[in-house]
Amino acid sequence: MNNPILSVDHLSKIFVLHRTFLGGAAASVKAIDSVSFSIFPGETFGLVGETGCGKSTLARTIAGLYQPTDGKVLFKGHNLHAPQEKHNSIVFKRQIQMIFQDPYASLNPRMTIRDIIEEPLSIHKLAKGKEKEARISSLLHQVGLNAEYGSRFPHECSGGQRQRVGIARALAVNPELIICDEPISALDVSIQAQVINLLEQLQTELGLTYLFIAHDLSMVRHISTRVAVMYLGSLVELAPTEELYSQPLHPYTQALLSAIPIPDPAIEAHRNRILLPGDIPSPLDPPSGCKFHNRCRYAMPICQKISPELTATDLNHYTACHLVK
Amino acid sequence: MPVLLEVRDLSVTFHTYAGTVLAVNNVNFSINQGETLGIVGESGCGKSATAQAIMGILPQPPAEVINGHIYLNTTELTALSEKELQQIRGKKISMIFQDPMTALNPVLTIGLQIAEMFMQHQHLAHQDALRLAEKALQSVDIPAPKARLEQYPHQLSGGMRQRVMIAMALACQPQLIIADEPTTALDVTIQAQIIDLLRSKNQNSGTSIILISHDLGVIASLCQRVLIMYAGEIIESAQAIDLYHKPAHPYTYGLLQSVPRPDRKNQGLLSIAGQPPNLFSIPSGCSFGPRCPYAMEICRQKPALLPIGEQHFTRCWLAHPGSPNRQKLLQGGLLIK
Amino acid sequence: MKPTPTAFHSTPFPQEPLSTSLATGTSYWQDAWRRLRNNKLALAGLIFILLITLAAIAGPYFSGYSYADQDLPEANQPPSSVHWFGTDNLGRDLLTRVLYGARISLSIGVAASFINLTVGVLYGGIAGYAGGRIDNIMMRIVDILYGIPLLLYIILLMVVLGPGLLNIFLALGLVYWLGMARIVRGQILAIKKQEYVLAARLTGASPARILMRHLIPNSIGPILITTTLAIPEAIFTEAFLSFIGLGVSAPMASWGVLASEGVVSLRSYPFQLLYPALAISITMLSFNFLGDGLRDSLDPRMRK
Repeated sequence: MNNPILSVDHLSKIFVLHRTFLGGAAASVKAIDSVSFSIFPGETFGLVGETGCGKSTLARTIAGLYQPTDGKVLFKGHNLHAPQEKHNSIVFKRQIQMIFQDPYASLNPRMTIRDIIEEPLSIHKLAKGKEKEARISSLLHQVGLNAEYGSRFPHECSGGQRQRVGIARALAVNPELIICDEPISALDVSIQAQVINLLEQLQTELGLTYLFIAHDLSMVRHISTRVAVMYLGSLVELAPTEELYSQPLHPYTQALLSAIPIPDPAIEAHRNRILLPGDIPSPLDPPSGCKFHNRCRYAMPICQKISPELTATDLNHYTACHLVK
Repeated sequence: MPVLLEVRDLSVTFHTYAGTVLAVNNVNFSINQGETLGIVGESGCGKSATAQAIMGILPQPPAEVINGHIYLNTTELTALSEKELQQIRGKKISMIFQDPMTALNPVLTIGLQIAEMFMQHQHLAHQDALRLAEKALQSVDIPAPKARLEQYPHQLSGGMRQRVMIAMALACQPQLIIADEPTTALDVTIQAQIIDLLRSKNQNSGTSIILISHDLGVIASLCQRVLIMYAGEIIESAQAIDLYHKPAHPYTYGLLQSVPRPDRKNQGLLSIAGQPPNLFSIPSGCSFGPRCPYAMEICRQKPALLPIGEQHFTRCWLAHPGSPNRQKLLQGGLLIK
Repeated sequence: MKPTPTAFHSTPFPQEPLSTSLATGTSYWQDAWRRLRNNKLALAGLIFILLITLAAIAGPYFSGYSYADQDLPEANQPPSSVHWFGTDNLGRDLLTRVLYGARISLSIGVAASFINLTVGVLYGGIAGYAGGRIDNIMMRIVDILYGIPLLLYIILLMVVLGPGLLNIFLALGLVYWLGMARIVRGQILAIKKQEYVLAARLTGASPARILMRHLIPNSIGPILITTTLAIPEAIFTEAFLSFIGLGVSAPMASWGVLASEGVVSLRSYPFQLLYPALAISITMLSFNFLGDGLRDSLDPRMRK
């Protein structure tokens, strides 16, 4: 196994919502709770979870948009957020790029497509004049758009086309790791497949590594090499894709997978779903011990008191559950 | 089973500054009592406009129902006045929307909003209505219903709010519920709960359900019959089993191929080429033609809905008696190469 | 209908040319202009502003009089074909004086806009983007200054600085940007969490670049509206100051000066107050109507 390209080490992020008069925290949300995992070059690391699980916060912290409250993010061994590494971090930050969910909000409505793609090239002085124009055209071509699109404005493009522009913008600085934060959930079904196929093709062509965050579990299964499941800020299970989907060990993962509707009425008619009671608790007031214990059908007394650690049950299969040791 | 709702020749246009759009183009379908019908399509296909036309809540202008009749049992909805329609809405037909936050009034308590249904349709007094409201919350499995009556929408989670909407929709025991993307904004575990709830209401109370969604999985888990809409038209209609196992329209086939399966290993995703149609300039002939890998010369003419099996219709020339591919289609779906 | 022999031959549709393959959308500005055109009051306001600007620039050359030409025998003449607005108590042609007054008022409008667009936008932009403590401090300063009516400041400043057009510019410059700063800060707060801003940050864009290329261009709507609506306030301020003797002084012909001269002879020669008063009112109304119209037409929610 080669070295990971990205390592997250006991990462935590707390958002303070209200401060007391003297500056202490009166109400806060622990969006990420001591999360650790590694991503290896060339793989697609899938991250799934429902509302409040912290996957978006995790994505943004890794990308550098938030400062961690605790723990580290190591990119190729270098701490991304350490102040002394500042001059390095700009170079590294370029190597991590992000594709966003909302194709309507991720492009500046006042800039042409060409200007949007040109911006990263300008900032990093990657090309000039004719060479720059050529690079912009080639990027557009690479994502399946005609060079003609350069003079368009975002509102003149469809959702799928905008998303392609977002990908082109991310590719402009030759990144190594791309964080895909729900890149297709706002697109029509028939366009989603187009974009996913494009992402897979680019991965092969350019040797990219993806952190793929989504709530569409079927799509995650299709594209990922390994998958991690999050619940209320904690990582509850991590395994190679096929193993996770065929043999989920954590009760939450089991319920999650059984909840996915399958596009086949014959199968659906005979399914026994695991229906979780109640709602997802609010991250403002999470349950004690194992955060899933109040909805878990296997809950034991220890689950309420002690939060389970992520431990390996098998080669590469990690679970955070007292049942599984 | 007797027919509950019948939609005949419905056409709806939208007048915009950029032109006139034919959002719903000659749509015909019906739903029986106790049946669950799914309407599938992507954005712009006309499914929401159809639902709103049935409820009579299309904003006219800019919308205009230029043709069509809608019958509920024997009553013609399209001939009713607004006042008469108000008697039907909530009482005989109810609607559930995608975003419960905007469908619920943020400044009224939950109890009041549900009680309003009873006061309006059953002319009950305030206290009696509140009591029934509590019962309604119980029937949708909301814990601590009495306390909920006093709460406001923003204090509830998305799943809870959707349950409240369902409670409101079911309050006066309507014969038909139209659910327009009711679970699109919900987490998958909550979605499963809501679908389960709708299914039990259908099975226990015999309430018919029209479920509108772009999610083929959700449709498969609830609907007995399915309609596929594209560019304002119904392009395929079938029993759910037939639609998913033997799709007869290239668009349906493309949709099914482009949706990854959660229960199968990684297989290639086939996507549908091109973009959704520009409603301002729908091509003459088959509206799916420009994107269709099976397009033929005759597809420059608009196909009619042709029968391809039991209760199975497709708007495609491939199903025409003169088409050499009709046999393959009949036998088992679109496996033409 | 019998199909032709080749009817079922595989014949793919031609690829659509790019220009027709997207929905005919109108741009932000085209849509806004169309909506504005339909607003009769706003359109009337815009036309009036254009007319009076034209008249202010070119008019005095055509009138044949200057604002200071006295003609005592012709004093206090009512409107006639020779003097369209009549004359004042020193025989000066009132129309010419009103047009000169227009120059003063409009230049005040320009000055106020300039201050708003530079100091106001930058101050609000920096506060909004920086957030946290910097934003807190900057906006508390604004709040404190805002606590006292701007007119009071201006009066105090004019008492200290003395009368004169340049001093009015200075006084306005010191306090007239506060409203714009607040508006811009609010707008920036709303859009800085947008994904395209995050994308720019991730690309490595500097805060200055983000402010100038992303945040401020997308706040043009509220900026334009606020600028338009700030102008009538500035015009009124100058007129008021001149009216009470703190602004421009005679013989310069500001509308406020004309009004204060006209008030004296209100009973006998009402037209001497009427014209300057009308000028002030209609100009202010025009800017207000235009500003309201812009607000409606630039509101993204009302987009058709």
